Parts: sequence; structure tokens; C-alpha cells
Amino acid sequence: MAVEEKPAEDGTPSLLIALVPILFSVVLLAVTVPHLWRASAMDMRAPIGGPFSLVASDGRTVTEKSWPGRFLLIYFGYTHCPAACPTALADMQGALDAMGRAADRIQPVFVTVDPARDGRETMGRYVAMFGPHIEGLTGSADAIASAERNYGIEVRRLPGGTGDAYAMEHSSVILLMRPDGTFGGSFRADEGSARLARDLSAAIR
Amino acid sequence: MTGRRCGSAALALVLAAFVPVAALAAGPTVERAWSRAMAVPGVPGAIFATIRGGDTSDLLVGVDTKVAATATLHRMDMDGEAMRMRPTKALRVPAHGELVLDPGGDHVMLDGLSRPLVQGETFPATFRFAHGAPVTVIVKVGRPGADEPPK
Repeated sequence: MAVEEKPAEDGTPSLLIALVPILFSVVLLAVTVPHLWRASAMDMRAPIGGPFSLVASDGRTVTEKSWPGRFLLIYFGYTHCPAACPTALADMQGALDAMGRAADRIQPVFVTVDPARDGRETMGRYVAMFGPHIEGLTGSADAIASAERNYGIEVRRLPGGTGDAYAMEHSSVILLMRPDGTFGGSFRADEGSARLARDLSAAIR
Repeated sequence: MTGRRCGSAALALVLAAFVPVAALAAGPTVERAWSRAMAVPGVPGAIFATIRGGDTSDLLVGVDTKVAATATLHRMDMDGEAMRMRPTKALRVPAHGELVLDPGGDHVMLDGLSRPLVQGETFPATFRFAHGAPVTVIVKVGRPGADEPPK
């Protein structure tokens, strides 16, 4: 009896040991596959940029071609955003102020992800708080959704909140488009104006 | 005689100095309360501050101020590039630690501003805690989109 049991006891650990590489590769797959999938999804995704047709604070229609020869520095956000958007806009303005003449080559743009609350008058007054140069753009829900898609911005209205009091979740990233309309890079929106000025100067050189 | 009087006066001073310190140490304190200028009707403002924990862990449960119809605590989480901001009933103030309310994180959202917040101005606000005594501070208004409190 005792003799018969022994191999069984020894067998269990050796089976486990044999399973370890299999278990390990399953774990590895679980870790790497989503990354691979993500990487391929990124590669297959359309490049950032493309046409938009929106409305500036003064009522004129603007498109990606409205500032010929200039870089576009674009941030998507909304005026009811209490923290991240004001930081991003102040940093954009601060960076351009710090860049001197080089900043003449860059048009900063703030596109709302919340056209229901951000009409052009609200957008105009809002961007004016940060400086004279940022254009505040709004538009129809469809026009905004199309711009968000083209520029890779993910937006979701958060559940909860009643009537006019609700929050939006959105990608918070500053995008640079070259004068030829190609994507020139993206910058974090929370690293301060000095860092942004440095990164921008390098990107437009 | 003189020596003894000096001694008891000194003792009284020490006690007088000690009592308010002991009272302060019991609950959280609020420092560097600030806000950003906001001049657009219908657009909310925010309050930021550093809240220092007292001897025991506490919860910030609300802020009262006359400049806004409602003041709501918000918790901010970053998920990759996406910011997640959601109303919360309370924010934890660790014992002898700090709860930092700043533009990149947790903050107090001010909806329905009763007047524009003008750079350079101040307004009072009262921070309420689950256990500690309420603390009223003066909030300084900085420039729009400021990253840090005004000097």
C-alpha cells in the first residue's frame, strides 16, 4: 500500500512541474496578445488628422486649411472641464509666449467635445481668458464627432449629472499638425508650458 | 517673589501657547487655498488647496462658499491619456499626511458662480470634515488655467 502510494505522491509534483512551462506560456500569451492586438490596431488605424469643418467664435466657418502655411496646435476639451482643459490651454498659450517669433508659425486651436453647452459665444469668451491667439471652435454634433474621429479623440459623456450639469471624459492630449496637413506629434497636456515650448520648438524645426 | 511671578507667568504663557496648538492638532487644517479666474457665464470654477491631516485620519465631506450655487468634491483618475473625473461624497485626509487638491487631480468644482472670479480677488470658503471642526479659509484667485496658487 505504502509502496503504491509513493509513486503517486511523487507523480503529482512532477506533473505540476511539467505543467509549469505550459501555464507560464499561457500567462505570457495573456500578457502579450492584447499588446500585439493593440499594436496592430494602432497600425491599422487611420493616421491622425484630416478634414474638419467647424465654426469659429466670430461665426466664420473654418477648416483644417484655414491657416495656410502654419502649424496647427489642437486641443480637444470643453469649457465645463474644471481642471485639465484650463491647464492645457494656459500651457499652450504660455508655451507660445515663451517661443517668441517662432510661435507665429503656430495656430493654437481649442475644439469643444461638448457642442451642446459650448456655443460659439461661450467658446469665444472662454479662449479669450487665456490669451489673444487661441481659436475656440464648435459646430454641429456631427461635425464635432467627425473631427474627434479624425484626430483620434475618445469622448464619453459620464453617467449621472442632471440637465446641464454633467461631466465628459475625453482624451487629454495636445496635437500638432504640420502645414501640409500631416501629423506632427502629440504632447502631454499636463507637463507645463516650459516643457511644451521645448518640445514644440523641436517639432517645428 | 519676582522670580516666582515670572515663573507662573511663563507657565501661563506656555499653557496659553500650548492649548490652541493642541486644538489645531486635533483636526485637519487647510493651506494654500486658491482658484482660477473664470469670467464665462455658466462655466464652473474650482477650488484647490492643501489639506493637512490631524492626529487621526479624516474625510473632507464638503466645501461651502457663497460664490457658487453648489460646490462638489471631484475625484480625478487618469486612465492612460483619458482623464476620469467623477463626483465623490468624500476625500480622505490621512493622519499627519495631506490631501492635495490641484488642477491635475482631486478638486472642488464650483457650479453656478454667483459672480465672475477675477484674478487677484479673494473669497472665503469653509471646508467641512467628517470628524474635525470646519475650517474657513480665504481662497486666492489666480490667472486662468494657472498651475499653482497665486503668490
